[in-house]
Amino acid sequence: MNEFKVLTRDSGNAVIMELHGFLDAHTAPDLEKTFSELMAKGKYNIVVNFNSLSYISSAGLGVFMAYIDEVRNNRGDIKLAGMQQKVFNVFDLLGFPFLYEIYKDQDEALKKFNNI
Amino acid sequence: MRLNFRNSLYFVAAGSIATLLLVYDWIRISINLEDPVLNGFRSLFTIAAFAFLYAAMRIFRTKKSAKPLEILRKLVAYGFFSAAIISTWGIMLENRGASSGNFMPSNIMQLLATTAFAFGIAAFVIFLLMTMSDIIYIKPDRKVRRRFELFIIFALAASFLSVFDGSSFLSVLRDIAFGVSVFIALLHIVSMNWIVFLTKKEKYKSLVHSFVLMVLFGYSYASIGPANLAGGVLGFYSPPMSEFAKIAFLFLTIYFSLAFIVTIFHIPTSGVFEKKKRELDSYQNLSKVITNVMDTSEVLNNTVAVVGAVTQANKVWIELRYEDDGTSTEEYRISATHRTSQYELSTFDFGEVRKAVRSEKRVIVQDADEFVKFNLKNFPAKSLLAVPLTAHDDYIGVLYAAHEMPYAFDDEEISTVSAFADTAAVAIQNSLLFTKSIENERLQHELRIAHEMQLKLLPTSLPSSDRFETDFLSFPAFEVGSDYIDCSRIDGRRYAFVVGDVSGKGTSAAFYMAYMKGVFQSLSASARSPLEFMMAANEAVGSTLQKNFFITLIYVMLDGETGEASVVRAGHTPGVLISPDGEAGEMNCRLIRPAGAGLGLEQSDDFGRHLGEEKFVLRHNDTLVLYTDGITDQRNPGGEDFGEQRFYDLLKELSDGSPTEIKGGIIRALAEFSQGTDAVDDTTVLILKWR
Repeated sequence: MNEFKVLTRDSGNAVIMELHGFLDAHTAPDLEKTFSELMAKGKYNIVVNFNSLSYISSAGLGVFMAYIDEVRNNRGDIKLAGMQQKVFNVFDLLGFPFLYEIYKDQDEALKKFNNI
Repeated sequence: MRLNFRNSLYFVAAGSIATLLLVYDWIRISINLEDPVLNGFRSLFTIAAFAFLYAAMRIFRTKKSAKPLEILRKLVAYGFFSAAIISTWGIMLENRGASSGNFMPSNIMQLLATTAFAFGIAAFVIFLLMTMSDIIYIKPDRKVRRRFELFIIFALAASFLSVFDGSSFLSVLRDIAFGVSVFIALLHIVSMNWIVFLTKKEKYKSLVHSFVLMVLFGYSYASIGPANLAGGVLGFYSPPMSEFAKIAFLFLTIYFSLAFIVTIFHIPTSGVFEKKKRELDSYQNLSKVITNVMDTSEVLNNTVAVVGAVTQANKVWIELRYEDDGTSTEEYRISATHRTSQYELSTFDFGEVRKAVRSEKRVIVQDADEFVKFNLKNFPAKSLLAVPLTAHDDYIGVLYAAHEMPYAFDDEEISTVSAFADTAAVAIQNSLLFTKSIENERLQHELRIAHEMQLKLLPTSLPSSDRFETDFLSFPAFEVGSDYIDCSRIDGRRYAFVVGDVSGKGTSAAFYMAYMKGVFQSLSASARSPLEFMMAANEAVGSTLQKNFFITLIYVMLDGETGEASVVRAGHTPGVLISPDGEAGEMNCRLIRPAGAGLGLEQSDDFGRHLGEEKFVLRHNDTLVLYTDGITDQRNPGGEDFGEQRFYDLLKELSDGSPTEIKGGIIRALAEFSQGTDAVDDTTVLILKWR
């Protein structure tokens, strides 16, 4: 039940990061690892697809905070897309819409990168 | 060794019979009476006399002393005295005109000397056999005991049969009994196990003693033969006793000839035997250490020292394996050394040996080519033995022993070291677990302190007045929590209530929570408005928190006179306002959710720009509830969340009651819902009711 999985694939000048399952204090390190790998490769245009993520805890939210400065300092961005209502509520409550661009689906987010 | 009444009686009986015999003998030699039947009866009387002597002498029987060499020394002393008496008495009698052959005392002096001699020899024979039984009963064994008893029985039988000298049939039987007793004496060769346990030095001593005893007893045996005067004297006085003494001396001669030979054969193996004994002792020491010592380094040091002593290896050391659970890497550390040092060993890489130990259980490197194969070309030893330390199927390290000679470890030694390694591994693991459990205990204790400290940071009660009433609940899910609840009085009529949640759990979150209390207590008094408070709090928190941490907060400023409330929210779960609606008595539920991001997420400018404020006035019977998501995230065994809606409905249902009643209702509902499912997050609820 608490399985968590991250899949990444390139799409144009951006990377799509697909999240599956539960993102909490236990699984957050997996996501951190994926982020730091992308940082190491110099990939800073990131779209996170939340379609298959069913739960996120505050520790999971923390991961996005940890990398946003580095990404933006390198003229990139983390754009969030395809959240289920429950997951969106968590982001919304915390005020993430002030900090991140949040889209209904990933193509919309990808378009933003490709337009630059 | 106290002469008691019974023993004195035996002595008196022996003495009386001896005196009667003396009188009879005097008559006998005076009238030259030689009747075989009478002589036979006389012999029976001598037997009775010697039997009483034996019974009386049993008092001299020593408490079994287990040291074979002590007994041998005693035997040498007795043997020397008896040999001396036999030779001197013979010479003495000869000088007084006695001749060998069919000896017959010719005067009263010779008769007295004969009697004294017979009893002297009898006493010595009894002494010797009693002492012999001590040596035979070392490491007793029923067979050995029976064999010795059998020997005594046949010897006694032979002596009884010599009472009636005339009959040729009886003398054949006597010779048979004699032969059997000698044969039994020879059988003792298989039971000289006392020799085995002697040290090498003791064996040499035993060799000398056995030789001396063999000569002394052989001489004694030969001297009491019928051809000698001493033999003639004994034969005259008591043929059975003469027979018994002969058998006894022959037995002793045979026994110590055999002991001499057996000792010679055991000398070459005594080195091995001593080594085995040393191993066994070390093993016992090690076992003692294992059961008594909980200090890991002591166990390790003892193990290498014991292995060093038993194998006489030049270098012995132990490497323990350390596993990092997080990165699943392993590391080996040299943990104990004997006749070598970490410094010396640190220049060599035992990686190949370790690999082989893991797959092959034990590794023996004995020649130069093999050392090259294991990447240990310049290792200062010519033999290396490595065995795994395995306890309860856990592989915890490697025990190494090195020797400067090639092919230094034989099978025996290898199996010894392996056995040591197995025993030591259990001890090492036990001590490691013990240390770990102490460490755990200490951490538990620290956590308990942290838990208590944190409880002190939470308020014991919140303010109430005649206009409003409050209550709250706050349970950490683990020892230390990340929820925060507090209140401060801003001035005469205004109060600040706050509920917050630090992201993440555990000790670091608990520290931030404590920090948050400091921020709240200092800022709430000086801030002119809730917005100003929140801005300042974001500033204070943002500069302190790690990037991936943040704090959510909801802050209510309440005018205690008018019920005017102003709420700001930094990413926290919304406040819930339950108000009676109209006359129908229905309850209306409204969420207080001004905009605002969590503290530490945004820089001041952005944070301030996004921050909203919500104002309202509390009316009669209004209930304002602040909470953290621990309550809505509570699961039941079916994996279902308690959820917002259920919580709001519950509040509506309970809102008729006082804050304390509402709190009770919430706790009951949670318990009923969770059915024992552990909370995953801290649970905090603040309830404020306007009268």
